[in-house]
Amino acid sequence: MSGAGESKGNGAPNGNGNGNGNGAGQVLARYEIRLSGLGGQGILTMGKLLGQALALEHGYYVTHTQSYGPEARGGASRSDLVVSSAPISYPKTEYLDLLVALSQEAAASYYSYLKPRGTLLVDSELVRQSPTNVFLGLPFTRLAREKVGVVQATNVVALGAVAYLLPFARIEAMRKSLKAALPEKIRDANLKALNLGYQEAKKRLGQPITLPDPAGEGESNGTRMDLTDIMAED
Amino acid sequence: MAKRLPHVPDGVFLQMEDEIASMGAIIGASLAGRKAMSATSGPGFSLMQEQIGYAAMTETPLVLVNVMRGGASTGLPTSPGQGDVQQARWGTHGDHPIIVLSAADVPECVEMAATAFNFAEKYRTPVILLLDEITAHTREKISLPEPGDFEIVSRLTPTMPPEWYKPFEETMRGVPPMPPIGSGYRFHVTGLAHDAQGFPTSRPEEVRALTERQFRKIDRFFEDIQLVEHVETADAEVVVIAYGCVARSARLAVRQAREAGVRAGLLVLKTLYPFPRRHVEPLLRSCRLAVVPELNMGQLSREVKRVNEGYTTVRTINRIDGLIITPSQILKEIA
Repeated sequence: MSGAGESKGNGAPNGNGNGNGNGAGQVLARYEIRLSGLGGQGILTMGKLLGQALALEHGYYVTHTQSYGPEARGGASRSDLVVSSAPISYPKTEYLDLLVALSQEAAASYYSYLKPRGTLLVDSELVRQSPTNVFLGLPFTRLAREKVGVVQATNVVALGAVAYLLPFARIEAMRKSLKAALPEKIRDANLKALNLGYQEAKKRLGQPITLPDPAGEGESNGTRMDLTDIMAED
Repeated sequence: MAKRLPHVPDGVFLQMEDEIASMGAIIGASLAGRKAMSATSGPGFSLMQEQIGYAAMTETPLVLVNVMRGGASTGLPTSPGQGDVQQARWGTHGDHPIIVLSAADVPECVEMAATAFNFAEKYRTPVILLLDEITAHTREKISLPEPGDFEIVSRLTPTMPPEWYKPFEETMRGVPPMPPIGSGYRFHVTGLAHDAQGFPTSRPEEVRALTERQFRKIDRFFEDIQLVEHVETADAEVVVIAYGCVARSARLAVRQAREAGVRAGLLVLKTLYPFPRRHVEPLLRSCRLAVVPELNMGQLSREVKRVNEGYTTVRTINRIDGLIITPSQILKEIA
């Protein structure tokens, strides 16, 4: 649905797993990302950093919306990004291409919004029971605590992994966005966290995401996983 | 604004103790010759209502941004809603003219904020800019306008000698010139019904003349004030009439409907009041179905239904659970 809605200007070679470096400038139909977790995990900041990098460094159209409860900490928190080469009408997400979940609750509540071939990325220690077997996981919180020494950098470690996984994002752009957005006092720790997330993802998560070919037959845009008749697949 | 206004030449950011004081402060600033605005949400808008009436009666230009959220009272403080549409028009007591605008995305916020000030200055009236949580919290890329990209209108000031000046005199446009207080012109301001000199009166002919002029100054310029955007309405059989964040959902839904072969169109209302009848009515006459999606139980759809004198079917989509109306929800109704 979403792919059909926004302009279909594609035909650019997709990521093909050959890495981030040459993904830049790729023509992109509507790509929907949800970052989710608990209030206090820095979900909104993560969305802002990712959105800024994609909009200002890569030049994509990006909308970043947010949803959070009235609580300062502990409530459900999420950030939605829509990335496209064309102007974006509907700013929220309906069918996710990428879901990042930093809490069990977030993974359970949102995975059903994933497209059939969407990517689920979780904090593998906080999400003990993944709602699906097809997911990617890294212990973001532990990495931040043990390797960076600042547990508050969890969101930036996850951002590093996202930068690796998204075939149209470049790590240098994230770095630049991070430098521009964060105060100097916490800049070094965060740059370290970003690199750590990127390297860990490269080591353990396999190839970056392959974008669906919008011209292809296989992609059943607009079919939500919870509505898909399993018998009908393949 | 707290960060940026102090860097603008003559810019002042003032934190008041509450909404009532904020309204008083911007009315005072405006009477002193400055362009002033305040912003609020939820119950804060209700607190400001009394003095919106004062600004309307004293014909004080000002801009008030209200970011609508869900529910009455404290309601859903972090979720979108569009429940203040009728309140923006009729929230203050008494019969009064007012201009209510809306914006759907970040670039439009820039455009409509400038437009709101222009209307306020041109017509000497309070202008309400209605946003919603989604529009207000969305981050997206915009190109900042250069100076000169927008027409900037400022209020007329008197050119006659001070002793000839009558602050609420009838004029061609119905909008009397307005000197900054303290500039040598005698300028009396009161919320009581007043005569051309600005002093209280209860003489029926003077009261009627005042009220009629206040309405006429807006009514005669509907064409200038009623702003809309037509999206593929020229050959439409089905029209969606939307405003605010929901207009973005509708834009996608209409495009999807077109791809599915339905001749759908979208009318985005940027001016909510005075209600843009001149744009709505022809579409109601030419389309077989009009759909009005909004995040309330049916506030603007009342206006559409009022205009629709049996021309077509008006269907509403109402959502009040703190979530936005999705493109697929609209698509289901039109395709």
